[in-house]
Amino acid sequence: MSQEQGPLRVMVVDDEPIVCRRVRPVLEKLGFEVETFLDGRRALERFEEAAFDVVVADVRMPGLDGLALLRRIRDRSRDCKVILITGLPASDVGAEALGLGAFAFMAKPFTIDALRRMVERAAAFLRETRDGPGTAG
Amino acid sequence: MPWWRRLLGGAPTREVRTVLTLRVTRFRHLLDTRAALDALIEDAAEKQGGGFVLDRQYVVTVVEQAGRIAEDAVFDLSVVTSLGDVPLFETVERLQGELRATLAEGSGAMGAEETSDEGREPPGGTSSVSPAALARALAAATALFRDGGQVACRGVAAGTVRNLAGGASLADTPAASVLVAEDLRGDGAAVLSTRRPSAILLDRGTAAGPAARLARELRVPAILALGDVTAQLPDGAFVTVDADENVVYLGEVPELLEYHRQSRPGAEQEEEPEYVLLRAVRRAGFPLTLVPGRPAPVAGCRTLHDVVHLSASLAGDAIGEIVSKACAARGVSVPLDGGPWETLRLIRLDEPHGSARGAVPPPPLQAFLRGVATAPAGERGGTAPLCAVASGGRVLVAAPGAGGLDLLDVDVEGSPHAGKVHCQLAALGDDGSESARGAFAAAVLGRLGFRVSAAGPWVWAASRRIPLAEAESRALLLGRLLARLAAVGRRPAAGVAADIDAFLGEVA
Repeated sequence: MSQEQGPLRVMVVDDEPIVCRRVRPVLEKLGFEVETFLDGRRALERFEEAAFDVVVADVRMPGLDGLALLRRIRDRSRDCKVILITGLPASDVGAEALGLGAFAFMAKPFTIDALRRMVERAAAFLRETRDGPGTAG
Repeated sequence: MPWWRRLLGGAPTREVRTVLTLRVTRFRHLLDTRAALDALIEDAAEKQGGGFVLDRQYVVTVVEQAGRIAEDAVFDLSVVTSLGDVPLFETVERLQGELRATLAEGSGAMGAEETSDEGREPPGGTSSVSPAALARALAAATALFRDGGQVACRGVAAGTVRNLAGGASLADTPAASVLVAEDLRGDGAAVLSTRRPSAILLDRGTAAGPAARLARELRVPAILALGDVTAQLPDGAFVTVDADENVVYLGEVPELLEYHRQSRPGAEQEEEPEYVLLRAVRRAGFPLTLVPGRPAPVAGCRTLHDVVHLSASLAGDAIGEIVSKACAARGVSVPLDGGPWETLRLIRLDEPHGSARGAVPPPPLQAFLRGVATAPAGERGGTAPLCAVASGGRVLVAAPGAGGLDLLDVDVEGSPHAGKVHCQLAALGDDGSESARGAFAAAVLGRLGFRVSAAGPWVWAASRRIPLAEAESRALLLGRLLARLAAVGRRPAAGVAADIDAFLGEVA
């Protein structure tokens, strides 16, 4: 848990720079503190230094891919909500991601609004878990 | 010898039915293939606007899908005609190669951008506006429109509204205003390039339309299809447009403007390489360049869209001839009461040969025939009979006229919203010259909600994923249209507008 009070912290990990560039402002406009990474290993190093509430990560990345990153995050935090995204059409990846404990799985391209709603839902879930039912909003 | 000549020479009825079923099924697959390309083209145009988060893989997928669709179309054509169309296959291979080269060239430029990013974090400035302050400001602002339109060009801008709905001229639009209008034509580029608006908001428009292209060309943030923005925003109002997120705020939101300015320095002047690549691919693969009203040679295919269109046209020619000949030789004769044709020759593939029901048109064909019967007395389409092949809720009609063969395919089978109607109508007049026929058909079908394209000597129209009852209603409308076209085909193209309005008034 990164903070009991204050803005939620979100990590975005995708080796395609455009995804990081597009997603960061969407989330910052919601008041989240956002850090972006083009590399799964760098992201994991950072995750070990500082806690994040939500991670949005691409499935297919060189080095440490999204599913491996999800496993490592799960080893370190049961609380963090991980949303996996992919441009690959393989639906079994989505099932595997959810089986490993991902909060959600989204196929690229997705609308800005769909991502916003998904991260807001994760944030609401976290707030409710931390503060008790009825406090999310 | 074509396969159907062998069949008409006395082959067993079961074989006639089987082969007819196979050819018609393959032709219908080609219709679906053609629709899949239309959907892909629309999807790519929508993504080009910027309302989605996409990556390079999406562009790669678009190229792969377009190539597969073109291959499928040429294969379907080969099956329908029993001829391996080698030149068309070679054309597909050549065009696929050109698209892949475009992709490789663009991807190379993107790779160069990435390797320059030594920190392995995306480029981008740091804003002095904190996320918390930004979120507070946006929460306090009044959002007039949120996700109600379609983003045609991303960006954030603010300005005073110039609403053209009251009759103001585009030429009088002050620079840096927020241009509000019902729609914009592509020819506004010359005016707006010297009076560049800060943003564009429209009632109508589509991602692939001229207004969207204009906005992207000028790099002006734009949201289209807002419905009633001209009614909501009077001249002189001040608004902040967030076309990154499809939102229009009343008044100025300085935190948003400052955040945008600092976080993406120079963003207005540049376009992300993925979008540049997508545009290059769309320009190379998607325009329909075949000349309307003229037969198209294979060598005239400059895009994959051309190939798919030509394949569908040639397959339509072939299936029309196949159905006409098979029905003439083996169909049951059904007399018609009114309309341009005296007789229907029907083959029901789902009824045993010689059964009583073999002469009963199924419901979608009955609807079509009710429409046909509305033709004025004396308007005859020619001496040849109307021909139809039907099975269950699916019917393929070949309607001969003096100017050519019209085709109609209706499907009212399957799930409640799986209705489909396709038609291929001859665009030329009775004497083969350019007449009102094509213009009339295209305009009427477009205003009736069909997706329409005109290239080569045909007008194509499709309406898909509609309720089954609506598909049947549309079959009736097409019957009325074909009946009317028997008369329109004799007129010159000029002066057809009044006829169109009159016809639409009749069928409303």
